[in-house]
Amino acid sequence: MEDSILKIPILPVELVTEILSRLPVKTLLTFRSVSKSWLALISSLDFIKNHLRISANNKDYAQHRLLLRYKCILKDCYLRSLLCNSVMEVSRLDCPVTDQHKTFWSVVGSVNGLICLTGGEKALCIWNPSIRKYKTFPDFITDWMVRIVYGFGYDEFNDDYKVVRCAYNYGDRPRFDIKVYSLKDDSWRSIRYRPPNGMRFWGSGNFVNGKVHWANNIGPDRDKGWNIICIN
Amino acid sequence: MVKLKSNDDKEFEVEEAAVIQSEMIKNMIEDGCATSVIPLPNIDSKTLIKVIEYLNKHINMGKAAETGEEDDLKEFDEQFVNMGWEELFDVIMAANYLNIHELMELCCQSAADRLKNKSVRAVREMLKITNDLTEEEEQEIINDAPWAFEGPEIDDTVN
Repeated sequence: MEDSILKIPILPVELVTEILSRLPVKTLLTFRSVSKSWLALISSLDFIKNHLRISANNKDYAQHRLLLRYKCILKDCYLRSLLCNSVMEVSRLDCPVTDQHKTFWSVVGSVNGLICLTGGEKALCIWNPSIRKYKTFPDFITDWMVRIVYGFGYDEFNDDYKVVRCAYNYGDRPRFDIKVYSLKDDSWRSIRYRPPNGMRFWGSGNFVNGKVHWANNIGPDRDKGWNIICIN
Repeated sequence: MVKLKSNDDKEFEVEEAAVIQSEMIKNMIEDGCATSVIPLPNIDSKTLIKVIEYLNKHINMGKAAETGEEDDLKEFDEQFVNMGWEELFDVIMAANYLNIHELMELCCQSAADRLKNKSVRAVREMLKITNDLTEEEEQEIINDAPWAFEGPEIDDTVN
């Protein structure tokens, strides 16, 4: 027995990282309790980023999941199951926030496994279903707003996740308020932007190529044409 | 032919086409540093034989697709990683040192597949890791995500 203890070579930390980075999140959450060094490794930011990189580049799409929503129920499906199985395996995603607050939740967007949800426009939540953790925000309330739309994206330059919130009305006294939330700083900051009078945003922003994009039109008449605006 | 020497002073001749799958040796050859024997002070002969076996089999990776030998190669890979932890770790360290990307990928994935869904107790026993966490620290980790420690897939066996 003593011999076998000596025989297992001790791998340098970068090679342990290479191996553990190929494991599913659920397994890794338990492996934090293997030893002090595994706890430090698995909890480190570098490891988390490496794990994300390896999962995202997996050629078999082993960790890629599709998010499906029907009414207020969220479901997910492994992309591999969709591509390779004759019957798609779909499982229900239980979101602790949507279960607690019975309002109509919709998906703002999803980046790197994080999902941003909004409930009845005022409530907001960022959720990581892989580790079942979430962050909620106090309801956003003003006396003047008519509509609020959100966008969710990843800021590669600052390695930060951001929520863009546009609150606006387009009545007799049009008002406009755009704020960007930084997950890293846990704070909102205002963006100076004066849109043309009467501009409306439609739906949630779409995160493409590092920027959040909205389709919008000017004036109450949709037929006048659409533009895309983007916020990075 | 390229000559490699293990740390226990054994020499092996390998075809250049096989050995250049190692980025490290490929660079040495390109820089003209591989004129005589290449010493590999980090690799013993037992491990080097395994690595050469892999390199020789994967010599014509591109051609395998054309000649329908892909399945054959896949079967070889499956057989190849069928080894104990000790040997697997030695090959991983050698593949890392020699910078052989495909071999590294194969062995790390095999190690991960063996660890997937294993219980914490089983992992410690398989890899001979001593638990140096206090009971409180361990409980704190369990309390952080109790659901992760549950499930029918969790495997407490050590093979």
